[in-house]
Amino acid sequence: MKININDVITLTDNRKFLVLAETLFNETKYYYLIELTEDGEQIVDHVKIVKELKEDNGMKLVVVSDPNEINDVKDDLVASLEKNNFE
Amino acid sequence: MNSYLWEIDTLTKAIEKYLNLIRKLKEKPDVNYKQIDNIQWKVLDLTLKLNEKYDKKYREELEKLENMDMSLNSEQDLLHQELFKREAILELSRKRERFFESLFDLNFPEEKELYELFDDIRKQQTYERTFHELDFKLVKEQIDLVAEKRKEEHALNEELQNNLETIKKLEESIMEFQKFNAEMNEIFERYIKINGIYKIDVVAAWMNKNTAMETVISYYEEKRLTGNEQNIDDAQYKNAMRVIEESNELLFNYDLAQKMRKPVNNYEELDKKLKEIVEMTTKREKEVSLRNPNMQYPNNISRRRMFFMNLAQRVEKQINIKPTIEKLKKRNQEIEKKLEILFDDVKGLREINKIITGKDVKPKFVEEIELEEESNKNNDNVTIVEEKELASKKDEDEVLEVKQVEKAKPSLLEKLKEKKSALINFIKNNAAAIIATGVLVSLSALGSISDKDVQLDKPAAAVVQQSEQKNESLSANDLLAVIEELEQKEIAQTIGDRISVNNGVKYYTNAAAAQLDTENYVTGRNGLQADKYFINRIAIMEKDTLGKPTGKILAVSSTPGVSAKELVKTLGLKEGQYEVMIHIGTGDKYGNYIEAPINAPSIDDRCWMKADDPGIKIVTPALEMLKESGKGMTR
Repeated sequence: MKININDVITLTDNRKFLVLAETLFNETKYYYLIELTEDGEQIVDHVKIVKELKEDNGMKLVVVSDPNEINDVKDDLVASLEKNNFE
Repeated sequence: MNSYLWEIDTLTKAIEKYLNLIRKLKEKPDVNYKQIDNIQWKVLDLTLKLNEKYDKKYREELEKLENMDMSLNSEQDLLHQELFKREAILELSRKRERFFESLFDLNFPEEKELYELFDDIRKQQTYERTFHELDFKLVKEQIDLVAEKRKEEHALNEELQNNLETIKKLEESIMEFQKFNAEMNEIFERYIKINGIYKIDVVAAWMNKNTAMETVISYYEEKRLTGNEQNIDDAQYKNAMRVIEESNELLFNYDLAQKMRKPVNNYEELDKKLKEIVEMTTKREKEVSLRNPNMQYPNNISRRRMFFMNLAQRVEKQINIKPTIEKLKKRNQEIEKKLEILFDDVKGLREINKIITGKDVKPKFVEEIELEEESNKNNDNVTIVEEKELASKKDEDEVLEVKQVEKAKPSLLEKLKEKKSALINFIKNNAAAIIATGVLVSLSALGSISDKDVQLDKPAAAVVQQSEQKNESLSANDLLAVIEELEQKEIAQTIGDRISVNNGVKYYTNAAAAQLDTENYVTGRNGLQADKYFINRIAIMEKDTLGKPTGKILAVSSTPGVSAKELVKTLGLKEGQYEVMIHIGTGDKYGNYIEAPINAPSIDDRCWMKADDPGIKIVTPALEMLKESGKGMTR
């Protein structure tokens, strides 16, 4: 399962997020996400910065809560978002 | 107590009078034994009564002594107080034991007879006195033992201190071998110089000695051959002997210097060298003293031996420093162990009381110490629990388990195009706020908070407060916006209020769940969408005395125009005793919001919300709505 910009991610609890931006830092993928309604049609104005954790039987996204870590990836995510034309 | 004393006094006097009467009757020439016998019976009866009263008085005093206030704060003080108590009890029991003896004069047979009648009672009293005596001895023994142990403790502590001081001094006197050896070599060289050993011509000394030896040999040969001592030149012999002695001394000194200059590499070698020197000088001293039996002491030769012996001792001392320190340290360890168990044989007050009374009662000061320790332990536990909670909270990073990934629909991406700049600005300026506000934040709610406003080490509440304080520097337009926002924040709690519900507002299946925040759904994420609705029911929920929600409904109303305030007033509730929950429905502008149409949120009855949810705003107050529709409650 590969995540790309402008993909809609559905979680096991049926919450949906759209990938706004991505970056690679210290060999870990970070994503800037925005939440969607359950039907995936509307934006819920909630954002998250997550990092990808690969596991044997799938993939997990962990919400980044360390301010230093956020500062490390913030600029790259902004650059990635600036390039995103949502097409 | 006083009544006992009075009764005891009266009974004692009565017995004394009867006994005096017996004595007087006995003095009469015709003794009336029957009368005496009757009086004896009376005395017996009175004595039994007296004993009973005396016993009560004794028991009372005993109890008072046993319950004596032991408020002193050390074991030693308590033991002394206990001893005083036991002494008083012993004295009390002795006094009681002597009571019958003082009552009867054993010189009179009638009184002796009476006295003997109380034999069993006296035996019991003696037994009790013995018992108290043993208690007293037990406490005294402990005090004596403590005194003895204190002396021992003092001696051990003194030894410990002395050892520590010695160890310190010894450690200070430890010298590196190179430095010590250099000092020794300096001493040796000075000795060689002062005694002129460096100038000795060893060959000349040998030759002189040999010549003198030849002279001596000739002297003895001549003496043997002639047998006449008178012809022998004694002066020549004596001179030869002196030369031999002087040569021997020079040769000895030369050898000594050689020995002193022998290089050594460590303390052991230096020790061996000095011991050899001491042996040499001792041997030399013996030789000289044998030849000169009248030699005076001290002399240069004995002083030389002493000088080298002192040097040898200095070396020995250096060698012995480390083993001595080790020995002292070991001894100190033994002392510490001894001190630790020194008082183990002594019975404390608690143990004594356990032996005496058979009850295990903790002295007050022990209880206080234990309570304090327990309280400290509990406080530590609380801290640990709190720390653990904090740690676990910190470690609990939210994990999102991905089920599916798919391409976004173009229509959705189109919507995001409009928000792109806002999203860029948000992550640029509010990245820190993402964490400060619990990671998940609303763009609209945090639109104006920048990193500068948010301090990561402060809780979200503090961040909000700071943000509010910043209003001081707002422009007129900003101020108007703030006022407008504040007005909008008015809590909707009147049936009929038209409200807007934002995405992210939690909603519940019933009022109790809403108050207790259980089984919640979220607008925008679950069925209910952000939109405008009407309040169609109000529930007043109970809060306990601590202000915590109980989940109990105090009142529910669905009457249009009725406000929560009015309901609360009717119930006589005060601020902090209740909480307001609202139920919403779609309805229409004519006030048909009570019976909601099909598919409206109120049908599934999952639309209870907290009235003070920040995502709920009043769009049109109920009064205006009702005015427009002409419906509602008549006021």
